[in-house]
Amino acid sequence: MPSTKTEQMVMASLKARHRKEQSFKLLGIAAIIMALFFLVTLMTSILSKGLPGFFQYYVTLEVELERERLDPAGDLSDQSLFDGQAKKIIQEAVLAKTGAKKRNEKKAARKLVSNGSDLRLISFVQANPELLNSRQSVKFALDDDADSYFRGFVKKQTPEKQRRLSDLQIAYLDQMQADGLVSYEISDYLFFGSASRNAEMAGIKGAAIGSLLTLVVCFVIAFPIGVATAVYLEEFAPKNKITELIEININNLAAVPSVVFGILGLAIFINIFGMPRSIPLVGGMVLALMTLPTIIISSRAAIKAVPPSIRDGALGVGASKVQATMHHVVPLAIPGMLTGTIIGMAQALGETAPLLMIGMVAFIVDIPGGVTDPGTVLPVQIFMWADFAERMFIQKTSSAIIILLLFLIVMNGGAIWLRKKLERRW
Amino acid sequence: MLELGEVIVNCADVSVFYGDTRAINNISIDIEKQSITAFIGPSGCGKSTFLRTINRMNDTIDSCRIEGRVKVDGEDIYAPSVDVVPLRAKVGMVFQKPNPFPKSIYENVAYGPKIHGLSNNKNHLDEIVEKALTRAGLWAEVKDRLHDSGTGLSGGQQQRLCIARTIAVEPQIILMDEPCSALDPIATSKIEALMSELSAEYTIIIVTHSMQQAARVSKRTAFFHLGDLIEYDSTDTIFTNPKEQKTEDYITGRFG
Amino acid sequence: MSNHIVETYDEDLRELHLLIAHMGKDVSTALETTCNDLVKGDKGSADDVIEHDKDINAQELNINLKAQKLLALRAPMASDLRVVLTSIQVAGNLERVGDLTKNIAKINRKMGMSLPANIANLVKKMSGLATEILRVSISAYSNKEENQTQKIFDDDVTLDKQYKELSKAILREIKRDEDHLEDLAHLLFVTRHLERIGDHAKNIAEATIYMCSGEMNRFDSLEDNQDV
Repeated sequence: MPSTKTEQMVMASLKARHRKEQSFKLLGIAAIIMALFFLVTLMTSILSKGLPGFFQYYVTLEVELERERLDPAGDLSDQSLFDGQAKKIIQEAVLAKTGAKKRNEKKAARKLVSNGSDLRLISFVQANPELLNSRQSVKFALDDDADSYFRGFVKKQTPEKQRRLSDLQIAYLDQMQADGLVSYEISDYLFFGSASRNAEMAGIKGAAIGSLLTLVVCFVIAFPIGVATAVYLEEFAPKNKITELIEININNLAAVPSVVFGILGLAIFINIFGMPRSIPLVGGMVLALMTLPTIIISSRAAIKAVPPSIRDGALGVGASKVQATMHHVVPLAIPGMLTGTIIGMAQALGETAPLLMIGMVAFIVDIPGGVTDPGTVLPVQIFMWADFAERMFIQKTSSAIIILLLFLIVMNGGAIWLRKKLERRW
Repeated sequence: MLELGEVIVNCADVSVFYGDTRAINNISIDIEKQSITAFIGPSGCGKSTFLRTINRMNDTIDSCRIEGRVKVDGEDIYAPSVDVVPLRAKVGMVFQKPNPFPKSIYENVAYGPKIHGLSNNKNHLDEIVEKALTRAGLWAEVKDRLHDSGTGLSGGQQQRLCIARTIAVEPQIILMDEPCSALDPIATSKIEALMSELSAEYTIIIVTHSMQQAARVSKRTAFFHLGDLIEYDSTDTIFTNPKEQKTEDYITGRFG
Repeated sequence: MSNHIVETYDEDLRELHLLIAHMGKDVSTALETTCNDLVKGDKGSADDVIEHDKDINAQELNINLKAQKLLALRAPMASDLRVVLTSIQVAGNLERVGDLTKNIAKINRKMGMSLPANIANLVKKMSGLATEILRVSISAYSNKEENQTQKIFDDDVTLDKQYKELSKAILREIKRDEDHLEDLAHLLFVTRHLERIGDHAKNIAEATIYMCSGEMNRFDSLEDNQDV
């Protein structure tokens, strides 16, 4: 029973307070539900578009692996195999299966299998030379129009003139399917193929390697410089107007639109230094510029978080300022620095605009072997694929987005794990 | 009566400024070798600041400036030619909150000797570590877990570890800035007993908020107030019959 | 001297002070009454005084307990420490004075004769001085006045002289009047007691000096200096 006056006053105001808290709670829950709703919608949309992109339709054909035709020089070299008749052999297999006789029928049939199937056959022969001069069943990718048909995007109901496949082609495809030759499997092209005009052959390998090389360059430049700058500014620099100015500028740089760094890279690295466009080295340098402020800021925060008692303890025992900083403060700040760096890297991984500015948008088929070979990066690849009209490109774009998101999740997750593992109590 | 024996720290007309604010006003004081001297006074009276002038820890504060002369073992420690690093090996410091490095117990004690080049081989370093830990009264408790983290010890043990760390570089003077204020009474008693033993070899200057502690451990006591040295005499005299009214008022609890 | 930050500390010290003042007053009054009655030959107050001594003893114990509590709980320093220490000394001295007064009252009760005029005068003079010295010493202690103490030491020297004079007079009377030997012998004791009371008052004065200035000194009495 409320006895004192104060207690009574408290009890009286209790109802209003509880009501306020309730409405605040409800507001929070509503916000969370809305956020979850958007998240679920987004994920569903991406997954529903993208997951099918991980699969492709293949057709199994019986091919005659005639040695002389495939490998005229007889040494299984790339040159010899390219000169050989791999393409023709595949076409013969298609014609045999579909039973096409007339010229237009043959033409129609040939279009059903992917253009790049000859490369597939060549790899097969090189991998299994002992199978030459025999008849083998080999899987080839279907052309993207045929693939779209099986997915249901090319419909029989549409008038023939408006379709990408003729009635004849559709008949052939139905035949092959009825014969059990068509299969739906994980697309190895997506992961191991590189950029291609043919949707069924397009893959992210080149872009992924390009991204990797660019990020490595970015890390190698940005991490040491960023960490050293943070250590200097935080521990050694005198506190005067100049260092204040520097600090303000660094903080502002973190908010500068990334495309500006692209323009900077274009002007300085490419125009003034004359470096080639579209190489991971230049891309990495541009991204390093962009990521430096993030690394410096988070590293400074990590260093600031080291309690002064540690420094005092080191100085008190007779360590010099440099020794106290390098032996004690920096090791304790490393987890925070690494976390900040990884987050910065994850950001850089997803950057498109600055890299477009320095020209990493060229259509690169070859996979870059080093940082000075032309290449592209994953987000740019996605950007380019989004332009193409073919249905399969739309799906592969979503698939690539999923892959990019997975990389980002892995990197951020790695940052969290690293932070947890290295966290030290002091 | 004051009656000092051999003097190891001699301060003459020392003033300390933080920017324009004067924190210490013209203090002159001599500290006797191998005895315990206590600095007492209310909060903000400057006793910690003054303590830190003796090992130049105030150098780490940018706005801090000192006038006057401080001589340690006959040498003016603020002379331009003096290197702070060996000074701080000679004049060690134990802080209010125990601050062992987040490393192993062994590494904590070995760090100082390593950076000062006191040992060139592992066996010798092991000896130094054992000796320091023994002197600090901690060896028996940690000898089987030298590679455990220093921060896993109890508060009192951590403080003794910090003392061992300081002793390991063989100082002449140990400065203690309220070393027991974060510890429970039993840990405090252990540290006070340790101080008694150590004072046979080292000169100890302790800043303390507890007058009872100053009364228990020190041979001489200096009373500071608002940056001035009000009275400096034998501890016995200060606590039974001080000469200054301010001193009397402070120790009888008539003003804080 | 300003107040302690902790007010209850001041209250404790004030209580101790009041206890001593009260005990001092009781003892002074008992002494004055008993001596006056002895000179007049009036035995009326004797029983009360003898009975009341128990209360005085209890007051001494109480003061000791209070002082013990202060020492344990407050850890007094400097002047506060000296106040508490001297309170124990002063209470002890007052208790002894109380005992001596009780003895004088007992002698008064037993006294068979009436005092001869000359002896009565001397007793009156000596007991008056002793009572005065005691009163002044208690006052000096209570008011923490060092400057009153010199008079006490001087008066105590006078008291010692009066003690010698009175002792001689009583011894002469014994020779002259052997019949009242016992009573006169008791009177000798009374003079002795009065002289002792002066010494206790001197002790209280010395305690006062120590409390005020921290100086510990014993002031020599005339006896010690004259090898009597």
